[in-house]
Amino acid sequence: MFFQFILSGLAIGSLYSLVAIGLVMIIRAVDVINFAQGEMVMIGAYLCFTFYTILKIPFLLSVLLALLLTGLAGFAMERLSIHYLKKPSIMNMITATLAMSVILKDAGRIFFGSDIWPFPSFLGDQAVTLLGLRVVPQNMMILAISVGLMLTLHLFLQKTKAGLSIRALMTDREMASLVGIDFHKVVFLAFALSGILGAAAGILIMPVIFVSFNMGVIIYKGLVALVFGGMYSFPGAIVGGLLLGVMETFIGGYLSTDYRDAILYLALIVVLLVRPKGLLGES
Amino acid sequence: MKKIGTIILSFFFLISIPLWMKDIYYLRIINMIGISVLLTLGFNLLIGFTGQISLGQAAFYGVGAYVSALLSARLGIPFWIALPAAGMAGGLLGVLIGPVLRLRGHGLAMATFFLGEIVKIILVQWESVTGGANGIISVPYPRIGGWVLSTNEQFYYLILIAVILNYFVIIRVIDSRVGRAMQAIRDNQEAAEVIGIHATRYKIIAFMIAGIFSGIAGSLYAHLTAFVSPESFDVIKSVEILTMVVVGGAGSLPGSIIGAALMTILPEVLRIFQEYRLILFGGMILFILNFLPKGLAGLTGQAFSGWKRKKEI
Repeated sequence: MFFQFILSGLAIGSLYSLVAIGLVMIIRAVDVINFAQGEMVMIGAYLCFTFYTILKIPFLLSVLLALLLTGLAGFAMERLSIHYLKKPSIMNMITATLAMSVILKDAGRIFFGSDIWPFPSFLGDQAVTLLGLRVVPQNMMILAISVGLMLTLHLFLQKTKAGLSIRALMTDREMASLVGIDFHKVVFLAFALSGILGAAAGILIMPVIFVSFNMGVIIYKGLVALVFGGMYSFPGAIVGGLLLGVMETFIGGYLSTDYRDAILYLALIVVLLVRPKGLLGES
Repeated sequence: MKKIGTIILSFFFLISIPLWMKDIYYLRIINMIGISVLLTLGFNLLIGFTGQISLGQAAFYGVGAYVSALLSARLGIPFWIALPAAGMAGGLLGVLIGPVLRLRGHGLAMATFFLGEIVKIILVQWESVTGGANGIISVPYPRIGGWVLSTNEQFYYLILIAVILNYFVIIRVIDSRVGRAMQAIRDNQEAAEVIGIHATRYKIIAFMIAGIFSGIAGSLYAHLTAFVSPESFDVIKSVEILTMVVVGGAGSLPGSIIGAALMTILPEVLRIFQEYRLILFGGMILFILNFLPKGLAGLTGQAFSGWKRKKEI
């Protein structure tokens, strides 16, 4: 049981990491917590579901289309909510992203109804025995793909020119603009990338929680992972998400399922107070 | 002199409303506006005058509503004790979250957001006490001796008294040493601390005052609708309260009233678009944030200043 808990915790946690990385990206680019990030998860899942199940487009192509379109949606969201704010205070920006989240969630409900659409498991829910340990293949796959995505993102940020300009801007905005880095292009990239990450999480989680307009609540867990990781750090967001996933499975398994989320949220507040720079950062 | 005249006139106008407004539907909306004003005035003190973010306003409102509903429906305690108890519960929550108020910006936004979620989870899960997702039904009407307050007219006056009291308290606070300390914190916390203002203490006071009036608003809501359930106090409600303040104009008390009125009336007007209600609600927030950065109060301020200038010429 113990090992299985850790593994399924890591699998679900890796999805929280993906959401949290998207949040870090936007915090570091424009200094706002994007409450509409959860809706990117919903949009990605809905799009992939529509392409694959309804329009019968081959699965991989459906995934690719869903990722790209959600990336665009992420950018459109930025234009419609915070880009033209007259007074971009933290208060106004947060209100704007919250409003956007409400709009997108309800648009999802209107387009697709309140039904929960089941989606077949990629590899099946049956546990198999591997090296003497019981593992669920689907969890392994989620974990592997998430880690693959994170590595790809890491390579993108480290090796490409676009990635370099994002990192430069996130480190020192004024210096970056002095050397001619286009702020608007980076904002576009940041929102598009976080949209893609959200969509990836949405597609991976489809067979687990199914497709519904309410999928965006995963943002709550993304926010907890974000805080565990210290809000501004990519590695922090990854570790925070994985840790949260494991904590969640253990609390749910041994303590209480009813109050599981309340305990996690309380942990978030404690981390904010005791280690505002995250569990990895220096206190 | 002119100001006093305006106050007296508007006072008589407010008192007269139930005398000529016979439509129960409208009166009920007016009552809901009153309850919203109780929520926004306090939080404007927090957001507009102390400069603190809060995304968990519905928690204070919900705690007040549940305390009042539980005391009167389960324990048979009279409304007149349950109401102040609800106010105290809201205020107490404001003080209890004191440690969180050390946080600023994003940290405070997150902490208050999840505080609201924790309260919601407790309301849903602690079924033996809160009735779970079904909530508490048949919250009794307030009574004085044998006289039962059950109509919207009677509630109107009850709410009016609370709103006037609230307005008066907030104005007094803003104009006092405490209020000036709060505004100093809003403008520059470091500078305020340098001249000896204990920032966290004043933030707690602001949260406490906002909490007390939200608790009272919750109690009035519980007894007016005779029913409470966790749904009424979820994150959408918090966004709504936040919006009332931002839409009206943070830092403007008349703005809070305009915001509360608008955000209560509009959903009723848009009832024919019931299906798209939340989309319109969100769209309106974005529109106001983008085009009217000072909120509606800024708009009337511009209109009035233009009018004054014309008069001078």
